[in-house]
Amino acid sequence: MEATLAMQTKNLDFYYGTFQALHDVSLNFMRSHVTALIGPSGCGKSTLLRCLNRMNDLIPETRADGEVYFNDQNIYTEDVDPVEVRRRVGMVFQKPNPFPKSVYENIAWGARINGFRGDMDELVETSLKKCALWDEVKDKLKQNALELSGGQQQRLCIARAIAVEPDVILMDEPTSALDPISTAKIEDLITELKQRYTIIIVTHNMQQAGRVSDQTAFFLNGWIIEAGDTKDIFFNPREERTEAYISGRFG
Amino acid sequence: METRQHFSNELHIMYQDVLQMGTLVEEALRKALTAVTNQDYDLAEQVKQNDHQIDTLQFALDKRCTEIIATEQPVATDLREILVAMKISSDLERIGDHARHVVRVMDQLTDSVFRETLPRFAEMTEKGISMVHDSITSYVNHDPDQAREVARRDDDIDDMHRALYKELLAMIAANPDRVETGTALVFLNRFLERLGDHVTNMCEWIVYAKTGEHVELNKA
Repeated sequence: MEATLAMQTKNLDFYYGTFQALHDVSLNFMRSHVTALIGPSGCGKSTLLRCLNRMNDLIPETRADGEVYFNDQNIYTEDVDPVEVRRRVGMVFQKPNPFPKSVYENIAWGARINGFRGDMDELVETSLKKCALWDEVKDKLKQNALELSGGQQQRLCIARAIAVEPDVILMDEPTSALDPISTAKIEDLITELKQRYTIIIVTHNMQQAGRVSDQTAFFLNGWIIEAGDTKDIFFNPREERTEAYISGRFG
Repeated sequence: METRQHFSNELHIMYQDVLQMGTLVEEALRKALTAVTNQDYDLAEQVKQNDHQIDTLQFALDKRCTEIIATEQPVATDLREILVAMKISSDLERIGDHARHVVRVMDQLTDSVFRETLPRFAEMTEKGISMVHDSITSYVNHDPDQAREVARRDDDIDDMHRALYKELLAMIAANPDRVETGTALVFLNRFLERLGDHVTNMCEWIVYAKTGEHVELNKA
């Protein structure tokens, strides 16, 4: 089956005050694919990630020029509600950030404020099962989520993100604070979740980008240097700067 | 600042190992040819000893490459270079075996009936030596164009092989009491033809290391 577009940026520039963090970024994100954004610190990859659900709107004195399409709609037009965008394009952060509430409430809260009227117990169970966490927490649903391990907390955050039925999940270095076993579980989960969701992940871990993503885009100083199939990027990149970065020769 | 200095050093040692292996193989072929031409049995013994050294070097090179992959997680050109070093070392080891095959039939090559084929075997071996030498040069220089040129010379070895094969068959037919001797030389003829194929394989890997594309060089 031919992949279809889930999101797309066209000639996107982004500014923090007078500093231009993104230059003319045009990139396609395919539905049910994992796209990895890689590049050295300060290259603009996390800025781009936050542009994709208008999280940067929350930072004062920032400006985005250009277009970001989600389901053929430019999300930067005035009639688009950024809160609705963030429901459809969820986000998981570097450090697990569960609410200081019960495991159950972590899942239920977002669904409730989004007007969910169905069977909440079922939604909690389904969301936790999709994140391969149910078996580990089914007897701890009333326990404070902060008492879970770091890896479990991060999977809970992913479960929380998918409980509101997004189309796209943005992940900003989701395993950088986790040990190798927890990292492997998250990576397995990403592969599982991409059947249903489009995933865009920022990572500093080159092996992780190689393992989990279908497409990779390499950024440097706010510019896309090279984007394409992950296998091509990691085995035979076209650009010397890409090769130098992925082989650890700078950055 | 150059990063991954340790990795770069490891790759440098790997290149040196391939170069050393290539030099030993070339030397083995040269010694084998001299031993046969001069009926030098001491030199022939050295060729056999050299072969152990080549085999040992191949094991060491494979081990080094495997360790680099396990510990350095190479990608792109680095990864291809390591895979290619392992592939080339395997072909070089086989070519080293052919040097041993040459000295093994020393007595047959000087048999009164078959002696006149010696210059043709010598010419094929010389051709093989120059192909090994130049392929290793193209490997060290990361030069796919030179590798392609070297592979084209395999045609000459193939032509020599066909001509010599016919000549040997005619000689065997005319001297049925020398079938065993003649057959040994038919095998040697085949081994030298295979030598050219191994060098062609090496050249294909040299092109692959640089371009990432598998090519079939010199296939009829």
